Amino acid sequence: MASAGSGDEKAAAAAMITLISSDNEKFEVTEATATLSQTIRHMIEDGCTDGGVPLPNVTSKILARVIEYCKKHATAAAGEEGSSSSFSDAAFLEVDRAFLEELEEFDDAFLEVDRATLFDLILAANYLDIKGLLNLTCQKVADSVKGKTPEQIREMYNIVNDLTPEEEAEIRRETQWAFE
Amino acid sequence: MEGGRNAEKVAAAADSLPDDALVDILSRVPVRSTNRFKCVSKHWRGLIADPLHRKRLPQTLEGFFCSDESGSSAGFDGRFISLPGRSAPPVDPSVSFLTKLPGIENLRLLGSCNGLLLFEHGSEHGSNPDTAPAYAVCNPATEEWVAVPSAGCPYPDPQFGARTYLIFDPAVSPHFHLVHVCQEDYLGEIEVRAYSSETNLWSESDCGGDWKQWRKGDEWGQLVRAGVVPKSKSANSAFVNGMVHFIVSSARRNVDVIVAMDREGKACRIIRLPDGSFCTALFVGQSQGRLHCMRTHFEGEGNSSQVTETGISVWVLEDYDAGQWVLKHIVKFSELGEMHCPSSCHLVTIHPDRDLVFFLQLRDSIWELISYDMDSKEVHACHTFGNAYCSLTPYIPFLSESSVLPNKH
Repeated sequence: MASAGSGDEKAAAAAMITLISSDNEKFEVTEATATLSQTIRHMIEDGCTDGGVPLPNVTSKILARVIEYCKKHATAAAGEEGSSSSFSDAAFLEVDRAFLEELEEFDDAFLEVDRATLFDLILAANYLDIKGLLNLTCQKVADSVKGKTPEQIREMYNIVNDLTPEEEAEIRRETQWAFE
Repeated sequence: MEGGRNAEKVAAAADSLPDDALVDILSRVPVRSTNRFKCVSKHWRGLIADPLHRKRLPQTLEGFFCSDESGSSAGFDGRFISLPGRSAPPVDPSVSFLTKLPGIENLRLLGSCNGLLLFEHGSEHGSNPDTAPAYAVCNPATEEWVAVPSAGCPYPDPQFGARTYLIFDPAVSPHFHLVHVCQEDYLGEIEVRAYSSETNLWSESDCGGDWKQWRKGDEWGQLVRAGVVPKSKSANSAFVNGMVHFIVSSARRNVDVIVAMDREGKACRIIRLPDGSFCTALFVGQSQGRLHCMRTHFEGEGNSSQVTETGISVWVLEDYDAGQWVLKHIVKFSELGEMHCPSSCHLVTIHPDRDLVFFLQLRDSIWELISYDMDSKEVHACHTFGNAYCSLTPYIPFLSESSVLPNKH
């Protein structure tokens, strides 16, 4: 129904939150955008966001991407709920199909990043407790690892094989079917 | 040099990924992949093996629940046969949390689907629909259960094949569904009723009206009118693409077809068997997400009467929508120690994640569970039963608690 777009920023202009990245860059975002993060939502509820929210685990490069994601997804909720800052599944379902498709396209494009950035996004989503972003990024990694051999996994993620040859042989014996 | 720096950065990121996120990623890959990934490193092996994470990681076939079918009092006997290499049964095999309840007598295990078990209890099927058996759906891993009333089908005569199928896919919905298929008499009308744990209701007879309506024109309706019989329970059923698949025989045309029924009990598809001179199927099952069917394999000279049964062919429906079957394997009876289906050898199941088929075979009056590996052609003896025939229900654990099973022991 409501045109999902740019309206929400003005509507919620009164409630702005400042996020501070590990490299001390400041990002001003609406409360609706910020509260996609459960971590920040709790901070707002506890009234400890005055003077900005320091995020020592998130670089400005990653934080900019995370905010980009939250802005887009907060619009989906805000379009339905007006000034309310809560993001509920029910409201999400009501958003019209075209917008959902647009959101899907956005998500696909959003995931076009290198592996290191993808891992940094997972770390940030985990730390900030942004369920949607965590789902999206973990699924992306899962899709890229399934079907791969242990050797390919080690190579993709530079993991050192610290199993002894005996240990590895034993696992392979036990799970031989998985290698066929 | 740029590449070198990137590689270092990737390594740092991989190491710093929290266990929780790594388990989240692993919970989204097939069980075949997680088993392989135990070889990546000590850390990955530990994560995948940790009982704390088991609940979130994909599960596969653990073994079989047994039902003694030898005596007159055929029923669930509370035994569990673990697959070779697996430790103790992952659950209390006697399901005592259910059997101890007052009012639950004469439990019969009808089937399993993704970790839930479907039991029937109470009086045997008879001519009186008022005393038709009721159901219990339970999760043996969490010891949760719920009672489901009788389907109240007017023709509950077991001779004419009443079947109840359980549909449960936690990846799609927390709810389970039952589809009850019963037949008035031999080659007679077939009535289908469906139960949903969402409404706690069986579809009523007005739904039967709907059923009659779609029955008239479509393929399933034509089949039923021409006369079909559901294949015996041992031919199994398969849960693929959100639908239950089972075999019916068109008695007059002497061919079998596979019916795909959705959770509302609507026959959505009739799947014809792969081409062959004898269009009958022994078994339908699911493996690696695809529908499989098994048939008797014949060898002989063309259409002449000199053909002999020499083994079992395993077919996979590679393209579900196009109905495209591909011959996957032929196992010769000679490879199974000259056992013949169905006289001395019964198909039990196909492994949901491996190219492995399980048979019950009779040798010197002793029933034995064997597995046959389609890749290596190796035959393994899994369990010896003695001279009593057991029917076996495959079990894949589902370790999470569920709100649709409100009773907890």
